[in-house]
Amino acid sequence: MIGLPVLAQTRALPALGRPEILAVAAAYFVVCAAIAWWSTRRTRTAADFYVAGRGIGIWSLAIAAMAATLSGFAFIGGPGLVYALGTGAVFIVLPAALTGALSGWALARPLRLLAEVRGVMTIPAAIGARYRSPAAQGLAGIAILAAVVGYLATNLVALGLVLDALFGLGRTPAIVLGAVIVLSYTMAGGILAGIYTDLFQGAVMAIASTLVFAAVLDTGGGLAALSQTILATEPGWFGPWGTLSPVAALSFFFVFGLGTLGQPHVVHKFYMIRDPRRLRWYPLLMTGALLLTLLLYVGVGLAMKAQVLRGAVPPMASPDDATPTFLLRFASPLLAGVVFSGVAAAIMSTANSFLSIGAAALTQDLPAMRGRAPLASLAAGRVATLVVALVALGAALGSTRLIALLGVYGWGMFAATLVPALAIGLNWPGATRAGALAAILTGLVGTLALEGLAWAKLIALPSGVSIAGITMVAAILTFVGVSWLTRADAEGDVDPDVRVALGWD
Amino acid sequence: MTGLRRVGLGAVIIGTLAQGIAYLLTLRGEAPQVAAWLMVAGIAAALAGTAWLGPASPHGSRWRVVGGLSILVVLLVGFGAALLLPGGATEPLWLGLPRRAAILLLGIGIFPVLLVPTAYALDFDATDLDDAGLAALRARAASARGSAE
Repeated sequence: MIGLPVLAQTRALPALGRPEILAVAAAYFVVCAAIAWWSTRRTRTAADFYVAGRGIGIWSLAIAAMAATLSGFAFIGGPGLVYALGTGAVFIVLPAALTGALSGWALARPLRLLAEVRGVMTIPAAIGARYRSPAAQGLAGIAILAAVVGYLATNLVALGLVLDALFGLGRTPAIVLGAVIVLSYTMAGGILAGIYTDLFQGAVMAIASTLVFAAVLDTGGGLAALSQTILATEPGWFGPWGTLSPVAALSFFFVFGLGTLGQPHVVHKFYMIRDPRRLRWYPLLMTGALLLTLLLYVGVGLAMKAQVLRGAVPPMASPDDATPTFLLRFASPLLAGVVFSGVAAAIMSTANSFLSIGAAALTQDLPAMRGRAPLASLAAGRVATLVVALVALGAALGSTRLIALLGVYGWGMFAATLVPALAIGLNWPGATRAGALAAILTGLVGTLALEGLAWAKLIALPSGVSIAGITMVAAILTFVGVSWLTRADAEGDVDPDVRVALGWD
Repeated sequence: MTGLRRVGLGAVIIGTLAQGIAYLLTLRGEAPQVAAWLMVAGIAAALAGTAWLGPASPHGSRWRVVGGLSILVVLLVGFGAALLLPGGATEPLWLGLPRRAAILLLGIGIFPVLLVPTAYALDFDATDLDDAGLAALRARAASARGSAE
């Protein structure tokens, strides 16, 4: 069975304690701390805390969105998956060339203009405003909280493993230290601190990835030489689907292509842009940065497969060893330091975004579900951030099996619960409140139930059928079907000012 | 609802249905080739449809149509070629990669970067997004809210 991979590192890395690597990593953390301190001084209101005061420029927005999109999986787990599965593993990132423009078309303008008219600051709040439904807002908030805790827990484990490999702290202290680092700047500066650290972190990721790809080509004798080595021994690895079936590889493409439109930690950044006219350039900038950063994902897996087949290195004990082994054997210590800083950067930027949207769900969306006003103070945001972090840290320090479960359902949960009501519903006047509620419930319950059953080994799906794919299909069809059945309510389910914001009047 | 939006919504629904049927066939262990082709068609339709779903520009939707059609064609041709072309150890190299892998990695993974975000940029209508336009939008929204109350 090939389900969704855990999108974060869950296995220990080899020790990385070389002086050059440590020096670069230490410098990286010092710069992050300085940026966080600077931006924290500018965080004064809840709007600063949750949507960066709607004052972000397009470059910061695009790079931060890229950094939040890619977790440490892009640097460690992903290249390992390419090493193990061949071309099939690339299908997880293959839609990247399209998703920036798709989210721009479907979401950028509607979300930014809803923020202008209604002052919404969270993705569930946009859903609540669209369907005139605190229940839909609250349910979407619950789905986000459930996914955030799991996703965040796996990212905290991944950050701990990187810190442990760098500084030899031991697994548990390293996980706690990583959580404290991310929590401290997120609690203090919210998403404003996150955006500016993301900008630096995204730049580190893109530079590290580009340099590693150059090293891949250099040490492997060029792309053609690497390809010929692999084709001569394992042509199936370099077939279009790698070692997967066509259906399994295509299922990855579907889930990570359409599912991107439901990732709240990425799309909520549309609220933050200062000048919405600059959204014109978002897909070009975001996609360009994303593709540069993904060079490592493809390159290292390819290089390590060829080097193993050439006998230059022994086979990997675990696919996750591909990136550390490549860096320690074939890259300069300085470059290795930059890349491991890039890994930490990728994890921290994603974790920061999760903390922010989790805190926003607690303070903005759950009160709305109970008919109460949002908790508007900065202090409430900080306390909520602490609560989300502590719950995720508790999960992160739990069993490895629990982490494996939490890691797989985050992406799928976001995709199944949010794509229909958000990406389709903000663009379809015929969608109804009942349709949105039914779709969010289908995504939430379907993901939890099916992933739980699969985790407990009570069900096993054939290769190619991913639970995330099934639940997203079920949620979209439920959304359309229930909206059609309740179509008489469609007009009344949208407030007149929301119709104006969405361009329907 | 504009015509293009209607087409977009239809494409998303049909694409999702195709995807669901492909999953059903795979769950039953039947017709893997049919399931793969259904997935290719479903993915292409759903993603192209998403491009067409967004708000219409008052200046026309030419570039939106181009963007969606580019997605449709690139995915159908790229995945179709990967399914149809023969492979193996003697597969020719294109730009240093085996032919079918090159079609996927470069044709689907890289080529649309030049095309689709550019179509988005050309389609983007910024005329009502300056400060005056946003103020007018807020005023119209407040007026609509006021009339409803």
